[in-house]
Formats: sequence, structure tokens, C-alpha cells
Amino acid sequence: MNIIEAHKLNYKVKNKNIFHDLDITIPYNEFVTVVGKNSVGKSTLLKILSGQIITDSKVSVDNIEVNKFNIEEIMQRYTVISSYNEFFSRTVLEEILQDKRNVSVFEVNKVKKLLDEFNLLYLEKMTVQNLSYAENQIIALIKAIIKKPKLIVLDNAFSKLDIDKRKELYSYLKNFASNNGITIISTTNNPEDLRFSDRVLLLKNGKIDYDGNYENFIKEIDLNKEGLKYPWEVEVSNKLMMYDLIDKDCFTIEDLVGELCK
Amino acid sequence: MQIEEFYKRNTIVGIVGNSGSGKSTFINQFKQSSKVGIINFNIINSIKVIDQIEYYDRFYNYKIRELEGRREEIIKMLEIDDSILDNNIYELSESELAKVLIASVLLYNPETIVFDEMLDSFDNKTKEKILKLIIKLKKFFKKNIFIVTSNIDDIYEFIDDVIIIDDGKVLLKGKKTILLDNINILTEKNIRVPNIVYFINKMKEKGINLDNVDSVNELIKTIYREMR
Repeated sequence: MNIIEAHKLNYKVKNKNIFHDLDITIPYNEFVTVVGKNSVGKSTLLKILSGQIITDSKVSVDNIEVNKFNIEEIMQRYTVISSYNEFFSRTVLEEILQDKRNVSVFEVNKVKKLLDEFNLLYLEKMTVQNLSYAENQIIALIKAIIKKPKLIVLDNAFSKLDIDKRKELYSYLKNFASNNGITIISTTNNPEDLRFSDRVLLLKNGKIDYDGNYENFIKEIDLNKEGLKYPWEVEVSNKLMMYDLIDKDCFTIEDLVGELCK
Repeated sequence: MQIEEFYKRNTIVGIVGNSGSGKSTFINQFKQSSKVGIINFNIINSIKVIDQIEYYDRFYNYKIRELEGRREEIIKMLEIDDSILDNNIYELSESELAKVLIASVLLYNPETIVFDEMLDSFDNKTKEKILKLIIKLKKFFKKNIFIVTSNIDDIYEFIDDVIIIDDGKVLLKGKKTILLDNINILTEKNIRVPNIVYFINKMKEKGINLDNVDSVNELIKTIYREMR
């Protein structure tokens, strides 16, 4: 069963066709990441697949065919974390609870528990204007997961965070999605982030040029040609092997040092 | 700490620190002026792309006559597609918007330029092109440039000096070579060092002394010399 189906997707932006007869199906509970060069249409594709943008083509979300009359119904199915998430409530707590009136103690405690998981309990009463960028993104994450939607859209959500924070948040989301039957569609410019995905889609010239898992993606695609960079350890490992300084692939710095000092 | 004491012509300074370390608070000491150009997503102030690009130049400069020529040059330098000039800001992709914001500051030619978390909006190829452009700004136009980022690995090769922010304060500042010299303090405070610095240190722990280089190619050369 598929949570997202797009059939012969075409979409024009200012008279330019950015997708050409794209066919995509995404099964429930999958974690899919779309990669590709700048301005190729990654964010636009995510918006179309989640029902945020309506097209003339046939797109279904959670078995509902998207059209201009069922936007609100579709909106119940997904939440979005973007690279900039603006907040309009007064405090963090109110923002996460989406300014709901008559909130139960149970719901407040649920929020506190989540804040605590990220060591951010101190932010509960903080005004949303005083958050650091990282805090802001984590609050956006908590807001996105608290209602356990069927679909979470990560639109370059964590690219501006340092690599350790990114790892922490992707791990958390992957785990959460796994335990709660949630599908994730995302986009990123960092190849290290792809480790958490079940499936990688390379968007190129309006088509899906690659559709497979992360390990094969790294092996089959020349990342440098697609606007991506190899992880540092992989780049160094490849070059050291070229000069016969090591004789096997290394993925961590500890491995590299170990192999060189043998 | 007065921000002016960090100004140095012909230098690229990396302002780094973990996410939430207080980089933005530190940067907020910089104020946009005719001499200091800050580039981040808070400087959006127009609806049309062309208005955004020309905004600061019209505000700080009086040389309106030469505006169009300089504008074309910068658009070409940043590889901004002509077709987006008629668009509205909200119609742009993140990378296009980032380029437009950079253009709007480069256009009025301030002496000091701050790239505040801009590079993460780009794919790797474009990121390197922008960094090479920044080097040109330093070398040929003698600018003082600050690059703020949470990802020091992206910029390490391209910077001269570094300022490490931790817990809202300047922890370390100086030439980028100080990162290797202070790796113990940084590790203790959980501050990430560039992969290359971490690697050189690990090799040092094994008794192998590599040169304190900043790029992968130089690293391979120094490894080859030491370990052949």
C-alpha cells in the first residue's frame, strides 16, 4: 500500500516544465530522500507529493486524490519542517500546542517530556523570539511529531546545523517514525544525511535518474557530478588507495589511522 | 569585546562554533552600514528580486548612473539566472534566494562583508564556487571577510583566521593553525574540529608527525612523504 502516488507528473513554473512525466510511488513507513543540484525542483517535488501544491497531474496522498477541494483534509495528514520555521505564538509551549485553548495537563506533560528528551526543558516558558536557530529547529521538530502525523516532510530542515546535531535529529526522527508508522520524505545537500534514508531519489533534468538504497547510490553515482560531496573519510580513503598507502576502504578516521599505521 | 578589533584587510575569518553556541548573538554586534555588509536571511526587505538586489546600493551609494553595469557584473559573477530577475522573492528556491541576498550586498561594495550562515543553502559545487569568489574578494579587492557557519569542514581550507564561539563567548581566536594546537581544550568542550585536524592529531598520537595542512590534496602529499 502506498502513502504517496504520483502518475505522469508534469509541472510548469513560469512556462518552464520542471518535471517530465514523473512516476513515483512511496509505500507507508518509508524514509525517502530526494537529492539533486540547486534549483532542480527538490522542494517543489516534496510540496507536490505531500499535497501542499496542487497540479493538473494525478497525485494521491493517503489514498486521497489531491484536488483544490480537499486541501484541508490532506493537511491533516502531514507536517513540515523547513530550513526556516516561523513561530507566531508567545511562548514555546503555546507554539507546540498550536495555541490550543483548554489544554489538558496530560498534553502539557507530553510536551515537557519531549522538550526534556532534547535537554530543552528550560525553554518551556521562553518567548519564541529568543530562540537560537538550533533551538528553533528542535521546537519545529517537536511541533511536527507531537500529533503523530502519517507523513513528515523535511525540506532542507537541518542543513544549517552542525553535523553532530544533524545526526542526533535524523536518528531521533528515524526512530520515532519507525515506532509510530510514519512516512518521511526529505531533501538535503549533505550526503552524510542519506545514511538514515531507506531510499534515495536523484532528481535530474525533470526526471528521477536514480532510485535505490544509500549504499548502492554511493557506489553507482559519481557524487561530484551531481552537486554532492563524498564524506571526508571516503574521499581521503579513495585517494590513499590510489597511492597504495592503504589497501582497503575506510569509513572512519580511526579506520584510516589504523590502516596507515599497520 | 569590540567587533572592530577583529577587522583585518585582506583576511578571511571563520566564525565557528556548535549549533546554539552563540554565533548569532556575537554577530549581532555587527551593524549593517556603508562599510559593513551583513548577508543573511534577515536582510530580505523587498518583494521583487530586482528591488532586493538594488536596495542597499541605492541606500548607501549615490552612483546610480553606474548601477546597471555593476549589477550585471555581479549577477554574472554569482551565476544568477536572468530569468529570475522578474520574479518575486518568495518564488525563488533557497539557493537562488541566497545568491540574490549575496548580490544585494556585494553590489554596494562595503569594505567588510559578513556571510552569516549562507553557504549551507548551496549544493557542494556552488558552495565551492562561492568560496572561490570570496577568495577573489579578499585577494583583489582587499576585503575583510567573515564567514559564520556551524560546519567548519566546509570552509577550513579557505579561511585564514578563526574565531571559536562557545557558550556566548570567544573561546579562541587567531590563525587557523591554532585549532591543532588547542585540540585538547576543544575536545573537552565538545567543540568539533575539522576532520583534517582531528586526523592529523590522531596520527601525532601514533608518533607520526604530519604537516599542519588544510586540504585533502596537501594531506595526501604529507602522508606520502612521511609513510612511504
